[in-house]
Amino acid sequence: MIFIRNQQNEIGKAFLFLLGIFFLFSSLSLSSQEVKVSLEPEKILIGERANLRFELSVPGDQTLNMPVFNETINEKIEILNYGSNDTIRYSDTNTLIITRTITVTSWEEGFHAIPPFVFFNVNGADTLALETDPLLLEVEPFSIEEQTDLKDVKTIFSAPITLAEMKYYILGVVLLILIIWLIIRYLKSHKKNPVPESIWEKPDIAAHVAAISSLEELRAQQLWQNGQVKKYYSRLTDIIRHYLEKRFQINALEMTTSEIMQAVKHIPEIRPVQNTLESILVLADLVKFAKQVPTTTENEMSLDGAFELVNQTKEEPRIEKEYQQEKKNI
Amino acid sequence: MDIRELNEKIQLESAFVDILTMEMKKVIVGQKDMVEKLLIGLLANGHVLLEGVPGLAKTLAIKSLAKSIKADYSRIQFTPDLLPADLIGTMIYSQKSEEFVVKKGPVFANFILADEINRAPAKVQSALLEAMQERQVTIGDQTFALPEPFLVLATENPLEQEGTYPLPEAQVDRFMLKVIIEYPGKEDEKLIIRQNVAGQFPTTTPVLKPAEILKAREVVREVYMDEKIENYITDIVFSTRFPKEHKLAKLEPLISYGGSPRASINLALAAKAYAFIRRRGYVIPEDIRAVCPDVLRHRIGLTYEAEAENITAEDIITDILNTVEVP
Repeated sequence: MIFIRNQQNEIGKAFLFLLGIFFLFSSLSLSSQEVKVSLEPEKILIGERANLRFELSVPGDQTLNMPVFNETINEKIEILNYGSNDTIRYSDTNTLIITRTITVTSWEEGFHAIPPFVFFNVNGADTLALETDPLLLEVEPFSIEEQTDLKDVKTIFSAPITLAEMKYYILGVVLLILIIWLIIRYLKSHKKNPVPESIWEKPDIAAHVAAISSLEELRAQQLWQNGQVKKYYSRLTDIIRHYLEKRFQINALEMTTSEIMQAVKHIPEIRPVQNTLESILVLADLVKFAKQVPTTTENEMSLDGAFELVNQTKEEPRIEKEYQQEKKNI
Repeated sequence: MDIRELNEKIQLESAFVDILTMEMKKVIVGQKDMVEKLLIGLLANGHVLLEGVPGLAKTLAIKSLAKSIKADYSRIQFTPDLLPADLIGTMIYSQKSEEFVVKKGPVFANFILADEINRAPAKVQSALLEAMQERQVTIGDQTFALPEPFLVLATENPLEQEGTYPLPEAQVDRFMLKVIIEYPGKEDEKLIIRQNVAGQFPTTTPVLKPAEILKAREVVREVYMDEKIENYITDIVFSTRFPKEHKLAKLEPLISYGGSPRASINLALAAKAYAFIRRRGYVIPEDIRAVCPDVLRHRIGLTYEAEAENITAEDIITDILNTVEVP
């Protein structure tokens, strides 16, 4: 029994020895793998930024996996910038230094704990987890002094407008102006020339004055002398019709020759020159509609007849009329 | 051609007008205007639609005109049960020859009296109006040209509207003239009474051959129409289409549609025929004004507003003639 107990003690001693050697080697291995984290500054105002710096030191032949960062570290701390790994290899010590800085902020006052980050060291088939120390971020509110004036949040600054931004608007306005100009030009070119007020439409000009003036103008134009006989008779009958319309209020312009003669039949002033009027109108119809070529005498007589018609039927001035009436009464 | 020569030619060629008018007057009393319009239709190669209350000698006038000319004449009484085949003809089986033969209808005549045209349904009206326009008829697989001269004189009764089929606008447009027959004057009516009471009805005798009509039509086409007259015609017809542009804005709500180009053509042709009847070789504005109501009255569509205000096509035409300047 004593022999067996001694044998068991020997085995236990050997086990403890081996365990000791294992821990010795393990501590040596761990001592060459280091993870540091620092916060700068540790105290910020609400919304200010703080840098969280990681520094990993591993043997050159090993790799250390960074933890996966989300948008936030915890409920209170947001990550603004994830940074990137900066790797330095020291060949003399066979060490790999990896640094990374992430930017964080917080919008709530108070003390916010930053939990330890876990890094995994992959060495062949073995994986070793390394943890950083926990940190504390202090977030202070803005101090509001009651004595000072409170100011509203500043409005958004408007950036100065550049020509590049305005080019489409300018182009649009130019195009619009161009289109309007073209429309105005089109309308102007297609607009009928305003008809000048006819002498017959002027109320202050007596019918016979307008007629004599028009007949004188017709004579001066010398239309039939230049072979424009049709035009001459068209103008002549137009003047006569206008005169009859203004002087006797009959719609002579819309009447045919026979209708005009029928309408003037009962007008006493016209009776002495009725035959003259009819001959002018009938001859004019033949010239206008039946290609008749009148003689020079006929042309002259037609114009003279028109003058005679106007002179014999013109409206006498009121005073003259009244005088005649008075004379008759006496 | 020189107008003077043309005038002389017309003096010669139009001599038959007086004879024909006299022959017509033997039978027709107090309808001088209607007789003149029938002559215009005859000379201008245009069909005539006569509208008037019963007893105004519409049928008699047409019958007399046809009899005055030595030509074939058919009278077709339009009824609701009339069929197109009754009008244009059909194919019938001949037992003798053991084949289908064409049996021509009454439309194959120089003068057709389509009595009470609005009593037949649209398909019969359509068959006649097609013959009027094309001047040919197709029976089976054969097309037959209608004889020349071919003139349709149709009558319409404006009073009885029950059981009638009014002519559509597109079909009525094929009539050159629509003549409204008015009651005769007192003196004329007394003469009518005397003639009827005495029981001595004068009859017309043929005084003209169809060939003479065809020759006269050629001369009518030669009648000179100046550009000023053409402008006057277009002014009038355009006034029915666009009254606002012709100082007739007040007519704008009264007209639903204006005269077609056929109106302008017929106005020109009718005016030429009128000038021919007046023994003139040229058209003057009076001619246009004389035929204008008959040419345009069935070509102007009236709106409900016009009908509500009892405004007729004649009122509109009068307004137009009183506004459009005479050349």
